[in-house]
Amino acid sequence: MTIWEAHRTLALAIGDAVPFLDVNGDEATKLSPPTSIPDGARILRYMRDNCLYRAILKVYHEILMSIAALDKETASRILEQIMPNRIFTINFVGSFSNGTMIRTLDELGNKLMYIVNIYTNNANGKKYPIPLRYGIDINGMINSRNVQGFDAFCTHYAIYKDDTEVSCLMFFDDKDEIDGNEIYVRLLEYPRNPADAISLTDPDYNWNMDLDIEETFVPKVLNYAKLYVMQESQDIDAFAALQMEFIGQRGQGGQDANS
Amino acid sequence: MPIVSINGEDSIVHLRPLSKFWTYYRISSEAQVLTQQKNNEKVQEMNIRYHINAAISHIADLLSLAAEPWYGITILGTLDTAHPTGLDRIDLSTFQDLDRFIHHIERVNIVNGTRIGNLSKWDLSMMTQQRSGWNLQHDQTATWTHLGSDILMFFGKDVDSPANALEHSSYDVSSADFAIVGYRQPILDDMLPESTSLTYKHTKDTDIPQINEYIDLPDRYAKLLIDMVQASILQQVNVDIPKQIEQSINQATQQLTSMIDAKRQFEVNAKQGYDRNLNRIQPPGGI
Repeated sequence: MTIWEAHRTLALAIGDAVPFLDVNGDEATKLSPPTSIPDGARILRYMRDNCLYRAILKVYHEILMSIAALDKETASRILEQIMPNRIFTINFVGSFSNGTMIRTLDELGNKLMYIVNIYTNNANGKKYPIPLRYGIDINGMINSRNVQGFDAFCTHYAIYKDDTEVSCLMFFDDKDEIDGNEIYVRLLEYPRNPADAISLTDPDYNWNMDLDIEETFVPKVLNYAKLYVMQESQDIDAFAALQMEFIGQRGQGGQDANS
Repeated sequence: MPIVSINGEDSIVHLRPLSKFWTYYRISSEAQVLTQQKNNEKVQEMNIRYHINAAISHIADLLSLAAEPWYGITILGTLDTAHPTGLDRIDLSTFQDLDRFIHHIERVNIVNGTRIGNLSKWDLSMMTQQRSGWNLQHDQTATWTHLGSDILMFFGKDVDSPANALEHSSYDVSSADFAIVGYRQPILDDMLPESTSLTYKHTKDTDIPQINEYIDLPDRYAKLLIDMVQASILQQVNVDIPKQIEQSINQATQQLTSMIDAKRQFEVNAKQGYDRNLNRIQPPGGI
């Protein structure tokens, strides 16, 4: 669903429909998206943008929380199944000194949210996975008291580069296995705020862009967005009704409000 | 240079591993596939290599105890200077730390000179006792025992040797060649990174592996090895070992243990036969 379709649907859902006009004053259609989105009678476009963004983050949050306790193998498999269109691959050549490499990911459109998997391809065309490690596990792996050492592994964290927070990958390569190899990283980026997605000067970034969420999660995003708009606009009656709707759905189906 | 060769080679690095098909890499790969640990998230390749080494050591130990032929070696050497006990000796440690590579010694033979033949295995105390010279019954006897890094030998007082140093003797072994028949320990993965290792190479099945890449275990025991490595991997990731694997390992080790028992019984019988002077067919061996 495009950003402007989401706006229109959300505005209709909260009973704050306004005609979407393009620059020529004609009503916008799907084929002819507007160049700017107008405010509604009660709800500002700015608020709809932010509520959509919060809703997208909420959905991601739920997904990430649901896989957080799973092992990496299962978690990455689930993510690739449910969000095939949101997982990107970057590749680069590893260049190491002292067995470690820090790779900033400032070429990403947004901050790194989740690494799905990493593999490397050496000079002989042999591919193998690079495991991901977190927390004390890393200290365990680099513990020199364990003579067995470790396969090359990766972790990710953030640093400040020129006062900007940048996502980083840190590779540990005890045995010089992957120095000079091609490294492929499959990852999820943070979604963009729809308000930031537009650029009036760049025709590639307009309201016709898709929301930064897998299409199957759009209904859930819109439901949350609706809830947030109601909450923010102090539309107490509508908000209460919506909450009842959520509770009712939970009660009946044991499911969250996602339809 | 008392020891000159092992299996006719001048270095233990020239010994050939026993497997015709299984390389360390193939064993590791098979175990990863079977335990579904291909993604090295939990089990590192180095861990598996250690599991393989431990399992090969164990199986090879059982095989050598059972006197299976696979790890048998023949060491050729001459006598060193006498041992502090007054016995003759061949020092195994002077040849590439051979004493650390040997599993056990079975037989010692004199292979040339004026007398050729088998040396009896005696207890060390018997040998030192005979050095006293009170007993004339063993004047021409040649015996051996294995102590630490030495093969100790007793030669009766009519035999010329570095320890006896006789002018006139029934026979002379001071420059004779001795063939020491025993069992070695298996050659193991060198544990170096794949880039420098001679044993663990990521050689795909489209290429022929180098001789060093094969495991030092007969192929018929590869299944047992893989089962054992699987069990170690599952133990490492804290997963219950399937009963099938446990049974398979127990069954195979049970077979080897009964072979060891049979071998031990054979030696006991042989020794008893020797004691009763019934040793014409089967020479006695070490117990």
